[in-house]
Amino acid sequence: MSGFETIVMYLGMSLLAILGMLLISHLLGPFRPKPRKATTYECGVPLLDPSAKRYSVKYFLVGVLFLVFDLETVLIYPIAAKFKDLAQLGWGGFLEIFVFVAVLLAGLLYAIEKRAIDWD
Amino acid sequence: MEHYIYFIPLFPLLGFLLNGILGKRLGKSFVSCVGCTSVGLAFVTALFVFKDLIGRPVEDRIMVDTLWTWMAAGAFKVDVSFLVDQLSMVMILIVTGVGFLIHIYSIGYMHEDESYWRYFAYLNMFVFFMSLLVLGANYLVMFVGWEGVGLASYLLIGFWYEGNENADAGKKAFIVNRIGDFGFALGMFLMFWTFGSLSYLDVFPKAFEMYEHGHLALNAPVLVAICLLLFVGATGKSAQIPLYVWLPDAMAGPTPVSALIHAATMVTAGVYMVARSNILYTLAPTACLVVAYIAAATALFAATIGILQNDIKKVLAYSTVSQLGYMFIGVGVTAYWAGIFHLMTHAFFKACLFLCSGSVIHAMGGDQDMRHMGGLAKKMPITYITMLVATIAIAGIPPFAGFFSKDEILWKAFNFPYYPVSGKIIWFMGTLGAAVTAFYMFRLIFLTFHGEFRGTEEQKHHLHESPYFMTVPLMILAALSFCGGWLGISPLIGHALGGVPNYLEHFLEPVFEHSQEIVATIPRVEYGHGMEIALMTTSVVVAIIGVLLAFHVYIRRFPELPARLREQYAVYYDLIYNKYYVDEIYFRIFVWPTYYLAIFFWKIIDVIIIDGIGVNGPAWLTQRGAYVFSRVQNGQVQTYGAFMLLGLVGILWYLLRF
Amino acid sequence: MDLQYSFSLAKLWSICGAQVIMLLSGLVLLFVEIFYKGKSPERRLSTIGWLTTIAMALALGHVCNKEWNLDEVVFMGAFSMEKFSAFLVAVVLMAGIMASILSIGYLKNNKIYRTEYFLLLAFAVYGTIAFVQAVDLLMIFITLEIMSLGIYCLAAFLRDDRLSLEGSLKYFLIGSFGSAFLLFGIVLIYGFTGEINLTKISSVLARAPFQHPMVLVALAMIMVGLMFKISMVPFHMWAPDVYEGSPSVVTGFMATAVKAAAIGVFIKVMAVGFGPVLSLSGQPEFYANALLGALGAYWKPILWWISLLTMFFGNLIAVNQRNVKRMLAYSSIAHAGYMTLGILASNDMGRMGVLFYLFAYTIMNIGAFGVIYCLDGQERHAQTLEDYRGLGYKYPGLSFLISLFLVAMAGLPPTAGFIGKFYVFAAAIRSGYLLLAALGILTSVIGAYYYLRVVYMLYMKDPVREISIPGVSVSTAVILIAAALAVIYLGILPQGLTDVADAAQKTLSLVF
Repeated sequence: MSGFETIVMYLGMSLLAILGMLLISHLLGPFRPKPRKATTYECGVPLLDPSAKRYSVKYFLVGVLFLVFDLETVLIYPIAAKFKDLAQLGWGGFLEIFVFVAVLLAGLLYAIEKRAIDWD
Repeated sequence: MEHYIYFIPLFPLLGFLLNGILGKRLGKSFVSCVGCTSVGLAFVTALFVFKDLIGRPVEDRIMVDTLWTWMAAGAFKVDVSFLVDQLSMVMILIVTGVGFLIHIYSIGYMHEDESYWRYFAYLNMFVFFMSLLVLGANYLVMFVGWEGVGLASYLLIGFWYEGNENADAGKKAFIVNRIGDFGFALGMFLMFWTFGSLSYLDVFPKAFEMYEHGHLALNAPVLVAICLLLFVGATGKSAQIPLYVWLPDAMAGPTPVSALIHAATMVTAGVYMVARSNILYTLAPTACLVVAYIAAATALFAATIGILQNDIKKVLAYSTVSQLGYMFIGVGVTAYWAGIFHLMTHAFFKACLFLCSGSVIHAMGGDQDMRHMGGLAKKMPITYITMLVATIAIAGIPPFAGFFSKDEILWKAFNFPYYPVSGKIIWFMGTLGAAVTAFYMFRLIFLTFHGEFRGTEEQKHHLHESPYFMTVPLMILAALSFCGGWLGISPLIGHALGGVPNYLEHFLEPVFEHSQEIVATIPRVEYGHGMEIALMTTSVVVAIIGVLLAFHVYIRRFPELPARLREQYAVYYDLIYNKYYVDEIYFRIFVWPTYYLAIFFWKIIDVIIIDGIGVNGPAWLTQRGAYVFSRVQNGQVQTYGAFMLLGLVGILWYLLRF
Repeated sequence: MDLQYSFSLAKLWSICGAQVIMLLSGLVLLFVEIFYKGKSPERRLSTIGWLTTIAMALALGHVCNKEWNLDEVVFMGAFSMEKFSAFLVAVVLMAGIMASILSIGYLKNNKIYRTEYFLLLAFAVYGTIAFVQAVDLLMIFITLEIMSLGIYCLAAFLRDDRLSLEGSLKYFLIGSFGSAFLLFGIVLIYGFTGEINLTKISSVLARAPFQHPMVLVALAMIMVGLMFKISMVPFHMWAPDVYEGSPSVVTGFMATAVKAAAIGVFIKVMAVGFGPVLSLSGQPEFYANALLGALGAYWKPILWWISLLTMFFGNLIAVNQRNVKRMLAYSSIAHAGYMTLGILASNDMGRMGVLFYLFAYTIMNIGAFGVIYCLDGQERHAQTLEDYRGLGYKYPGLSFLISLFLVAMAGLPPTAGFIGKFYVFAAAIRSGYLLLAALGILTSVIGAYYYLRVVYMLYMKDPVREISIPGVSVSTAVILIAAALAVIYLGILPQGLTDVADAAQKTLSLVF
């Protein structure tokens, strides 16, 4: 357990410090709310519209698709790095990566056909 | 040649399937034909088995018919197999024989009902499960039958489900029986744990062997536990204190059902089970004592309630509870054959009584209140005579059937080998109960058949004797109630009559052989013939006093004496009339504000409390408890996550606490 | 790249054949779904539904066609296929087939013609199979996610239904939470042993001081992650909301296939990964029959309590439910508790009992949800107890079927449910868990109360409102009747299945 005491004490102290600061500011600070004060503060510029806006679901769709294909690159990359070793396996290695890409391709085709990347 | 026993359950099963699937389309005559034939064939098969059985030498009178292996895992094995020995033979003859008569009676009784086919399908199903219960060669097959008859009874009690009350009665019966079954299942598992098997042919010899070799002491805790748990099941099924409450309500079903299921056969399953497990009970005297005391208390308690009931079927229902108490006294004081003997005679006279009451109700156009009856003897002579015979039988007046069996039980109770003093107390309670029985049964007869008719004009006009379909079974059963007891005449009387043997006892002897051996080793006081004659005379005299008292109150001084008594002893009258407020008490106890405490008692700690709860209690409790717990399920994902985290913390705390 | 595992197509086909079939047919279905227009939406729906069913049937054929008495049961250290896995895969595929056939009727009833449903189902089944077959912690995690993603989407398939969406979102959120636990456990065990393969983990653990806090924390985390999927108390809270909200057939699939798979993996992880003890020779040894394996002393008491809580809460809360689907959700929690008894028993009979129970439970549960969808007409049209009043005489067939399934779930003889319960209870008693078994039986008494209340409503109450249901399609009827027959058959002649289950559980040691 050696060493842990210090950490626990550190955590405890920082917690106390935070709580203490909150408490002090609560006790000392004046609290006079006004409607004007309660509005959202945007660098002094008057507010244009509410911050909780609805985005088009298309945005998420494209975002998710991008994420998927982006991550696949990361997964393909090691194959390239280890290609020499892989080549010793003959067609097996090729087949594996082929299946992988084929599945991706099928997915992409499906997404296109379902008109997931058309904006309208 | 043992591979035909399975036909006994098979016929009713086929009848059930045929009636259940096709019955609706094929008309009433087909349904009644199938329903009665199937049970009739089962009875005939049983007779063949009987012939086969007595054709064998005494030591070879066990027939086992194994159909297939039901469950097997490692050394553990349960077969679907049937066992016929003397005990199950007697039972199956009663079940199929009385069942057959009641099926025939039902043709007449139910002929106007629109769900005729459903009725017969259920009734056949009942006979099927009952024969499984009786014939099963291990506790698991018995349990299947046990649950199955419960289901059939539940369906038949709620048969006229249009009335909510009937459906509730069915539900009540079912819930109470589940509490009992819980005990039964636990007992079964404990037995499995102790003996490693559930088959009769393994468990009983093994128990006896373990006792002989000293591996199992007399009154070993585990045996007492097994026996008591099994008895919890029996109190549920056979309506003993404290789980008897469902049986009087069960009278909501059609009357033939009351006769077959709630008087003659199903409710005696508990007695059969105890007699079947006789070796275990003999080895657990404490359990025997508990059984005997509960039985005696039930016998007396239910009989007193019977005094003031006005519903003709309710009287019979309480009388059944009381008579079941006598049977349990019999098996409780290790006089197993006497219990079975009373089971048999009771099946005859109680079936007869119920069917007669059905006949009366039929004539009264569905009215069951005895206050509206009176003077029916002239209109329904056959019903009157048969019912009178059965009543004399239940009252215990010689030479009718009930006398022999009840007297044997009381004599054996007086001789209780393990606890002589308790034996005397039980004897006294039983004898007192016999007097009360004679009183309330004759009250029923007098109120129903004698005096002036008290119903409406319309009813009076409608009065008629029932058709032959109904009266013929009545006559057969009345004949059996008259002479059925001669099969088991006690040696004392048999000797006086010039050497009439006790057929039934000799027939059943091999089944209870080991038990008798064990009991024989217990030192006890032997009472002579003088004592036996004295006791016998006492019970006959008290029965006659009961009859005379009933005659005095309900014929000679009717109606002014009953009315005066009611006013004079209003407190007692109310108490008994309201069945000692047991239903209300059962309910009240658990509406107690600290219900959640009771939940814990109920769930975890105390089996006794589990036994003690009535019907509304657990349902209400469970619902309240469920409500409290479902508050936690508030639909907030945060809460769900928090609980998961809490669970994890709990697990981590456990793992890392060292 | 580690070349010690040689890749071979033949081995891939023989061990992961069912997966290959499901994956390929999933891809094919993807294109069918895009390009096949069909004459009418109904036609299109049933065509794709039947294609999915056929694909699963092919996979099931592949599983059932082999004896699985192979020497080689492990593929590249990632997937295994011994009888144990084969049994569970078969259960999952059976559930999938039943679900996909019932779905056709269900979607038509609800007038939903979006055929992605079947794609999602096919991929969910694929993920479930792979999950069952995985013997590698990382693979377990990935396949668990594949399975879950499909289910999340299926749960939300009633797009315009608030409860469906809410349930799915909750499931997703809490599911991610649960997966995080699992993943964290995997990371810790990897950090300690340097292995992610169950076999290797066990051999490392057998030599190392396995009481190390890190191992214990990992054990706890992995347990929590899996128990979440099995929906054991207190990790069960998502289940009622999700089960109630999801389309009935999906609920049926979720409550059976996913649970079966998770229990299978739980047994595998506990028996293989955390189960070994050191034998006298100092070599690790598969010791499934030990009452207390090395780590068993740690996880068994936990499972004891969790099993008790699960049986107790599941049954108790179910009593209060008015919605039949929600009631069945709680009941499925309770069933998980009973099955835990078998796992806890840790003997042959217990594991066999669990497998039997899973099989029986799958049939009766999907059957029950099938009837629920039929009586429902449109989702949430009639699924409360009040709606069921008096239906027994109006729809005798369906009422009889659901009564049978409920009676089987209540564990009354002679149904498959009784046999399953009997085995797990008997096994627990044999291993000395007498108290737990007794309490379990007590909770099953409560269980009987609420199951039979439905039967009571169906047959012994007068209807309060008029319920009319669209006709039941032939295929649905066939599935339901087959399920009913199976429930009775297995209750009367269970020996065939118990033999198979027994053989299956014995092969667990092959993985080791």
